[in-house]
Amino acid sequence: MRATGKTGVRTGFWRPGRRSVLTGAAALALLGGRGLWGRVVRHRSGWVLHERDL
Amino acid sequence: MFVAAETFADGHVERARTCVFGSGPAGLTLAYTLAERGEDVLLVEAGGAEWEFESQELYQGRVEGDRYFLLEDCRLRVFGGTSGHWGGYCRPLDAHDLAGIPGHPGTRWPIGVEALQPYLAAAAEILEIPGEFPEREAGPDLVRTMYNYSPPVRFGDKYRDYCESSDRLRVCLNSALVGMEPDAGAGETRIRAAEIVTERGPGGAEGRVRWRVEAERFVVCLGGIENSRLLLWINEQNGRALLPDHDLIGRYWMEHPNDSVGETVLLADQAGLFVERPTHFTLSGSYQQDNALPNVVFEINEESYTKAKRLAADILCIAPPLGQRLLDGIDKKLVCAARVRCQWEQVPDPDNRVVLGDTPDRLGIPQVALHWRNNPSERRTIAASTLALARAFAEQDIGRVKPFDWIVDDSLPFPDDEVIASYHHMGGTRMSADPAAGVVDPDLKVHGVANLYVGGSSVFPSSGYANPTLTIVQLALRLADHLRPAA
Repeated sequence: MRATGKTGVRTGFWRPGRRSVLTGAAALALLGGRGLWGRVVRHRSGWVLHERDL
Repeated sequence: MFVAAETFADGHVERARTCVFGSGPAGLTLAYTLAERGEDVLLVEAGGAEWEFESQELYQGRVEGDRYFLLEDCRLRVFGGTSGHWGGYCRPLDAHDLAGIPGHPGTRWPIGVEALQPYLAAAAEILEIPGEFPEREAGPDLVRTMYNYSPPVRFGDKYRDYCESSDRLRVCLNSALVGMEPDAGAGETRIRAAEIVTERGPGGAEGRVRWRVEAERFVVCLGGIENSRLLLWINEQNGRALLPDHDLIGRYWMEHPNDSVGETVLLADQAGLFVERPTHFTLSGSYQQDNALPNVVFEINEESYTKAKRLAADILCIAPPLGQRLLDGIDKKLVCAARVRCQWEQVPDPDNRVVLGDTPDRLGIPQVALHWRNNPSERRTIAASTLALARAFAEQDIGRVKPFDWIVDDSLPFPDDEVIASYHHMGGTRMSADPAAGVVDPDLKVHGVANLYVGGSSVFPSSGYANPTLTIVQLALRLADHLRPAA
């Protein structure tokens, strides 16, 4: 799932321009890999949402 | 019976088979259990029958590092010990807690959960809680976990009548352990006698008496800070020759930091969660192991209807179908808002430690200096665990979580509007089969001393997330079995 511009939803958890605790591959590995994230995303508002919510 | 140590003459000697120092959950559980089995026990408590400022001020000390509570506020020097502060949360450690934190071999307990499990029912009876702690999976990685809540038991109140009437359990109040005298004989070091100071009147206004206890074995149950402080002091008085590794005493001290980590809206099928108590979730043991994470628990505390409306309106702007679903549910009382609070396990750090300070208290013992910092690795624990919770809530449609910014951005500091700790003082005399890695052995006997034992949470090699009192009582019952098995 890619950023839409309309909702601001992005793949993964990290807001643009912010330094994250967990970055890149390390974050994905820790969180079980991109695939296991399935359709859950972190909206730029901070809410962690499911794709069906949008 | 209570023995008026104030009336002793200087040089008086009390004799007992077992001498226990400290009357908190560890000390009173142990002393009571041994006495019930016919053992002759002397219980020596530094505080009085009731809280007194002059006694409590002997707990003053210095904290270096992160902000922490005043050391005279976060523990109690009184009959019954710090159980007087206890909130009553009870939960046993998980099996994977005793296996240690992945990647940190020193955190593995030298005993398994099978060593504690036999004492769960008896500990639950003492703490007046059910002995069952059912859990249920709330998703592949998420577990709905459960605490039981003690009234809470105040140990001084619970055992006062027993202590007054028992012939086998003698209790001396206002009597502080100030030294230990080793036997000069050959073989493994033994403690021959303990030196005690009893103050007459508040703060010793009417004088002091110095007396001794001679016993076959001594058990130090003074609390998660005082255990280390007194062992350091006693070893110092004996030229650091009594305990084999002076430098290890006091290290790997731990707390249970906790803080709010986000907001949540909870959906219809979870709306009955808040009948009486907050709800708790944790991550599965396998998830923690697979991701090398220390243990955490999330407490979900319901917030107001107004807050629910505000959060739903917030979501309506970005996720209209969900927002509408939430707003409809709020009016039907099928959706609520809640604050997510996390309590997490610290990776034990040798630099988090109890040391002797420079200033002596009025009994001549150096006040404690506590070195404590939140470890940077805790940011990873909190971030990864909170995001895993948020993901599981969304995937299982339990609710939606909005982690706070400081959770996902480690350039932001820990919130500093409150002290993020729990009055849980653990580590300092940790348990290990290896004398080079721990102060006490798996039987809680001090390495290198034949008849000196330690009770309480200072022996924990790691802390899990569970509040420690239940485990403290389990360990005290296990120690009682070691010292005098039930007939």
